[in-house]
Amino acid sequence: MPEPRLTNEAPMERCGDRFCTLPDDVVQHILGFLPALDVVRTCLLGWRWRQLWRFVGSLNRFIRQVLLLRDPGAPLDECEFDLRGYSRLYGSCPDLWIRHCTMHRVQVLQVRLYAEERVKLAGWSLISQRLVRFELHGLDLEESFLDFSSCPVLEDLKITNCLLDADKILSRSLKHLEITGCELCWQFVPTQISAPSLISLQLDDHVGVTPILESMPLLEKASIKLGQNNEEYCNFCDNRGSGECTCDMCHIY
Amino acid sequence: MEVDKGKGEAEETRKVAEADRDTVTLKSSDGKLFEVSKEAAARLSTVLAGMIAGGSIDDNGTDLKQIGSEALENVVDYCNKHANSIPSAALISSSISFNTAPFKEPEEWERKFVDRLSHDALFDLVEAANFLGMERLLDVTCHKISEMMKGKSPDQIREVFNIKNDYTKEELEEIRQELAWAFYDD
Repeated sequence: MPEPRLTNEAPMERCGDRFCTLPDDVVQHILGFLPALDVVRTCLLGWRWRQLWRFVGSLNRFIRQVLLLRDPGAPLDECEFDLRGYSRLYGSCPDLWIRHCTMHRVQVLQVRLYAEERVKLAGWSLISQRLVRFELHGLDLEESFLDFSSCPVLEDLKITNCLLDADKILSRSLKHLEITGCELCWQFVPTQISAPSLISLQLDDHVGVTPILESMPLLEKASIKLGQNNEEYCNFCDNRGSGECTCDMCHIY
Repeated sequence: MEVDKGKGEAEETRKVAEADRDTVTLKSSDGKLFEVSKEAAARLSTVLAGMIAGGSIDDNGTDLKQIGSEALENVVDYCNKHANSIPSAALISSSISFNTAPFKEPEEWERKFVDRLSHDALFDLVEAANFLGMERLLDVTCHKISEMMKGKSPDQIREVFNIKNDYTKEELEEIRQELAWAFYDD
């Protein structure tokens, strides 16, 4: 009796290239055993490989290698970590990546994670004399992380889809602040935003307790929208007073 | 490891016998039967562990339609060899989850086990290990493939694995420029 080859439900066309029958996560698992440069270079193999290297497992080892491969004396002007499609990040250390970048004088830093569970960053504040723009997505930020007193030139801060668990967001230099789709909770006490140089503020679609804004004398443009799931969301107030007011803002503030 | 199954056993007797057996019978896509230690199967494969715990193991051969006989024979062989080797503590812990546990280098017998496989058999075994949730076997086989890629140029890798270069010259140049830092010594 002839022995049929390994059969899947929809048999793959035999193309001679055995990688074509392997799912992406298995190919990425293979790449995870390679040195960082070999991994990156696989993008030249063919179209399928073009983006595969970006999502390789053993992420810490991989990112550390890529970062360490750079000339340590050369400033890292911009650095972007976009881990789209990477849903499991257990054991990854974005803390280390961020602090490695600030040590290398990064000016623009973007960290966007899309894991099933938000990754928690250590709760101590960042120190950087150079950081101008900082974007965070999909992280759990707590305690002093949001105290940017030690980042004297930070102007742009964009926080999306994060959990903000801190009593204060502090920065004297910040000009533009965007917080979108975040959950704010600080033991049911409103987070205080202290950013006296702010020119634009966008606080959209958040749940949890609405923050308290300190004086912002330079503010030119502001947009504050509560998320639909926000307990303080009030049809009355949101629709400029038509209907009955159900919110109890006056009890909190 | 292939076994002939006797026919005509009474259903009840069969069930009792099944519960007492310390092996399970697996059936490949092409209908061949293989017997493997229940303990090893449950320890090394999350899928088989689930089937054993859930009672969905068939005495007449649990159908594994995704796996051909050659690959299944290797799977069973690996399980038996694993059962006979003295597992180190680190090896057991690394089989729990490849996402968190650090990878433990293949042991000598594992290295020999994958080294003797043909190119096709190795890839079939990767697919089987992936399908059966055998994390250690997946690690060992994937590691072997990575060794075949290590230090090779894209052209050499394409040649070894028959990968078709479907880029145009311009596209290749574009990628080289985009990731110039990775190709500085080429």
